Amino acid sequence: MRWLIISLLAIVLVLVGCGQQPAYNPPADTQPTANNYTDIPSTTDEDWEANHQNINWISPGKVTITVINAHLGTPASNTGYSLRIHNGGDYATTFRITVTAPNTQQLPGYGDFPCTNPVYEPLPPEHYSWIHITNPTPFLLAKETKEVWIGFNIPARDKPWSNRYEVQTRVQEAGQAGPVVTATATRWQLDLQ
Amino acid sequence: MTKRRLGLGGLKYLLPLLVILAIALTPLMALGDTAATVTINATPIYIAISNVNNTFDFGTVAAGDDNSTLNTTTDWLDFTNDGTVAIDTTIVCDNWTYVAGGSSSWTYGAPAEDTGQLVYSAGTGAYDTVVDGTTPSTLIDDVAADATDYFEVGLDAPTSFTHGDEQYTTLTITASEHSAD
Repeated sequence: MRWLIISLLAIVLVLVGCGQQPAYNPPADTQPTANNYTDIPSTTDEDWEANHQNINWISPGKVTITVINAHLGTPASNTGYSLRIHNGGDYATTFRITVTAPNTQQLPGYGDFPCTNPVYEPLPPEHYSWIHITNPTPFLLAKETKEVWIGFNIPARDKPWSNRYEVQTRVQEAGQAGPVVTATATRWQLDLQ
Repeated sequence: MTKRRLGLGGLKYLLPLLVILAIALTPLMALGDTAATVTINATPIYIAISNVNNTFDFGTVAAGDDNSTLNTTTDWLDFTNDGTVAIDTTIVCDNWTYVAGGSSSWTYGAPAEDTGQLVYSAGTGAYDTVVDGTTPSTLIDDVAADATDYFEVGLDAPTSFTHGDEQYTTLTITASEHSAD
């Protein structure tokens, strides 16, 4: 009987211990050092690029970043993607890269039924600080293609969270003439889990 | 050689030891995840857009002019999707600025004194959507690759003027991959 009581007490203690997992509270001024990172490169279409040397273009058109354990934070050094920009003009020029809201203004929790497409709500402007553009005004020679790293530094939080956000980066040639100018945008989708 | 068997006396020490180990290791297991796992997928497509008609000039306008007096045609602005996928487009302007030689700008907004705005429609001639001076709004969605689409822009002129300085604004048409949302 005595060993039965001791055994039951041991089980209770173990269960209590499992139920009291402390929340992970990273120091405010540091980021996790390790990060599992999977990069699926944007395959380039060399034939298409060769046939479109004379127009401005960007690639990729959409990047989806899925973060598991998002509350632990992501270091900007390796969470992001290189945006390729091509200058199709016969002159060297500067391009401007800015962060903008997505076209769709989905409300949180609102989507199609049945849910075939995940709903991404616009990234709140107060989170635009997550996005780091290494060179927001790249200078491109005539017919040059340049890569600009777009990093996402999602800070650590003291509790688990999940959300789906979308934001865009708009690329615009700075010296376009005329009152009607054009720009191109990449859609960035953040799936935080 | 004699075999030593673990009897009840041995269990007396083993069980508390296991309990202590379990309690001690539990918090360490909870802290096992120290970094987020990141997976990135990029869509291998190209986004490109161009336009042929990139200018508009309403000429001399009178107080209270609008599309009924200033615009009689439709489809006089255009863009072509030069990329590899269908695109959505937005339109935005950057408010009014006086041109060289002037000194005063209009305010961008619904018609009032020295205050006017641009409106647009996508080939209908309705001129029923305001071009925002800050936030892009949808122009035309789901434009196929290599397709050209058309729209028209009108002016809701101020209701009165305190100066005659010529005004200027820039319209920006932005293309992004079509969203099914």
